[in-house]
Amino acid sequence: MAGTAYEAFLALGNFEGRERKQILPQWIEAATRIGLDENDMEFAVNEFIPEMWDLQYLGVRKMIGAMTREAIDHTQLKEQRQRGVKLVYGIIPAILTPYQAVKKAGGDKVFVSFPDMCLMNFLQPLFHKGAPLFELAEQSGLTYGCRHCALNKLRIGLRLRDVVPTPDIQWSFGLVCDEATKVDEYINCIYDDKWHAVITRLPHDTMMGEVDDELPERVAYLAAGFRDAYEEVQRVTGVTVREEHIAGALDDFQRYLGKTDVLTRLNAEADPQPLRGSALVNFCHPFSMPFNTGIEYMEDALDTMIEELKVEVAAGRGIYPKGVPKVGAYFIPYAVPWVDKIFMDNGVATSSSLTMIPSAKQLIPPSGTDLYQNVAEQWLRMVFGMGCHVEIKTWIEKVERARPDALLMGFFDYDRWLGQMHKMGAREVEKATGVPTFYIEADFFDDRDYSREALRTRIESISQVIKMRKAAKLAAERAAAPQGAA
Amino acid sequence: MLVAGVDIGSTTTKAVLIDGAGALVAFAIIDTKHDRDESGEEALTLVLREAGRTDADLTLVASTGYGRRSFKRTQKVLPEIVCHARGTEHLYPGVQTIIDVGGQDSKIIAMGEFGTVQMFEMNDRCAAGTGRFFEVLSRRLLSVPMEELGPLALKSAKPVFLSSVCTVFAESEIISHLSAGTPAEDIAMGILESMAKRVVAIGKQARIDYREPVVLTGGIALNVAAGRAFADQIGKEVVVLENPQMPAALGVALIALDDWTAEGRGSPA
Repeated sequence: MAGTAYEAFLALGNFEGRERKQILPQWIEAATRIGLDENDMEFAVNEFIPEMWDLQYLGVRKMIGAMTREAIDHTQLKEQRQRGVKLVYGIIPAILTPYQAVKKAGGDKVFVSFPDMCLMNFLQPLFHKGAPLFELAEQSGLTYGCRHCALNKLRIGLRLRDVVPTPDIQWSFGLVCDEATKVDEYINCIYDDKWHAVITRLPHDTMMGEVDDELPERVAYLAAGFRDAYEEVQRVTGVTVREEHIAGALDDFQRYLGKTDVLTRLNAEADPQPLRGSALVNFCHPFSMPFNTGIEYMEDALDTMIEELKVEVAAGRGIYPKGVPKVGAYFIPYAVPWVDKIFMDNGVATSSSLTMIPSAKQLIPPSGTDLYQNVAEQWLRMVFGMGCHVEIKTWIEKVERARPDALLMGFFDYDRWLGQMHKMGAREVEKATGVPTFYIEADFFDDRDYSREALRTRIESISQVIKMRKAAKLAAERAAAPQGAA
Repeated sequence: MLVAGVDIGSTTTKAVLIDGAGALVAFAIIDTKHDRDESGEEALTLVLREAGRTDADLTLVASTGYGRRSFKRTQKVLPEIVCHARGTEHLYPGVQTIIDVGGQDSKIIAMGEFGTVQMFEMNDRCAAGTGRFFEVLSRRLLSVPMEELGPLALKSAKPVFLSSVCTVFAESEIISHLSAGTPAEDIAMGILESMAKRVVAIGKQARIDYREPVVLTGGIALNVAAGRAFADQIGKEVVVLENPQMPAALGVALIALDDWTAEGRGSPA
């Protein structure tokens, strides 16, 4: 029956009863707009999602539901614009706070979004269907393959497909991802001269040993950037962002961050581990991007997941066998979840992402009297907002806390900054913590060029090496222990 | 007790028999066929015949290599990195760095404490730096049998420099050299040096520092000039095993035996 697979997908995302029936026509329309058909639904519902995601948890299903709501909302961007809603876009790397403040100020008069990130997080992890949009961007002139970030390709592809209309303003953070801002120029010059961008530049001329968020002049510099950007947002959208909105957004960020810390710790410290690393990353998205439908749906999923994990941990249940080695990652490649699945098949648990574990400093809310400076501090404490050397120190802190058996780097070869930083950072982390690091040359979002067999061999090898090293280490510790010791 | 290790590679399939104490009983090698299961069977039959044993004598069969999962009778499947490491460590105790150049991929393995793999790197996407690169460029363009390429390359006084590490583009460069009358030995050594440079760079990118002793394994090591090409690149002595194609098959057999013993499933004797 027509629509059955679409409805099954909604059921999987925990849409129930009357709401499911009501939203079904919108969902079918939304799916069509982003290039999904009934075959894609059947593949997702019957094969891909059950294999890649831990659906036994209501929290995971709610999380899929929250992402679906957001995706449906994004396919209405054109209509929203026609109704006079002002569109404010951004792109990662970023934090929730500046955008959340705009949403709090503007409510339904403003649509705040990272459209490429939102739809990437939806299309690739749940349907494995980003490729047609990447190809659209490539056919328009962007180089094929791994030389450009697939997020930027998706932004162009979505624009060309007319899913994502011209924003009233695109607010991004420049240097950290220089390609993102260049892509805005590209769209502006070639396709859409109304594509209006404003960049708030992070300081990023930090000397070795300096910590941006601890230097008043740097915090003040970024805070001034926020003031300027809010003025521009106000000029373009007519939405006035007041201090109460910023204060609320600061609180939202800290609250959500704190909860992800609870979830990450529960999962990383549990043996057996109850949740796969890819799911863990997905729960963390709201502190690095806005949700136009609100972070409440994701937060509800997160709260549910935390409670479910507490029960699992207390009962000693997990999805991996007890005692399996755990691998941390810079960023578990959730957009290519079959990578995570190969680790699982090989008896290794993906346990934590360096980008998504809050540092000790991040968990302390900025307490200054200038709210703009507080936002700046939050931003500069985020791993991708700080200088390389400070970021690597933060990685070390996180590895020492989570104590994985190994650390996986890579997947960012297309990124001039991260690609090299992973190699430098891995060496430092290994030296400081003794945790072995492995590197995989691959693309975080776009797996079209992966040699699956080569990658499988590599992951199997990494898994075997981790297991052997862990076994050898345990044997050596047992041999060195005094007789009679447990 | 008899344990068989079968390494089904992209070019050749190797089979090893070891006894319950881990001692080598026999080794056999054949060209890999399109059907990888058949290749494994054939290599296993051959090694049993060489040892004067039969299927009935086998306690365990383990497989590794590109076709490891296609081998239907295998009881244990392992990826080749750990098998190369285990086998090479057995044949050359104390090895610190292993360079393995196979038909389809190249691996650089740094050994760590406990005789296990500390770090490894391999080519993921490109044929440059693999046995296939050497085979395509040497045999096809120079029309020299593989076994004669090494002695030919060693005669080189002035190896050519290949500016491209891509198999496809290197081919056109070699054609230019041939047209210009460059001696075949200089081209043969140039190809080896180009490949060695590419492989060594893959390891360096992964922060592998080529600690000695360095052992070269894989089919390329049968080429007598290969050791020199790699030694020149890393500036250190490179050891070539007597049978450089054996380590992975031997390694998978040894690991299978270790696990069997650790699981208390029988006496190793």
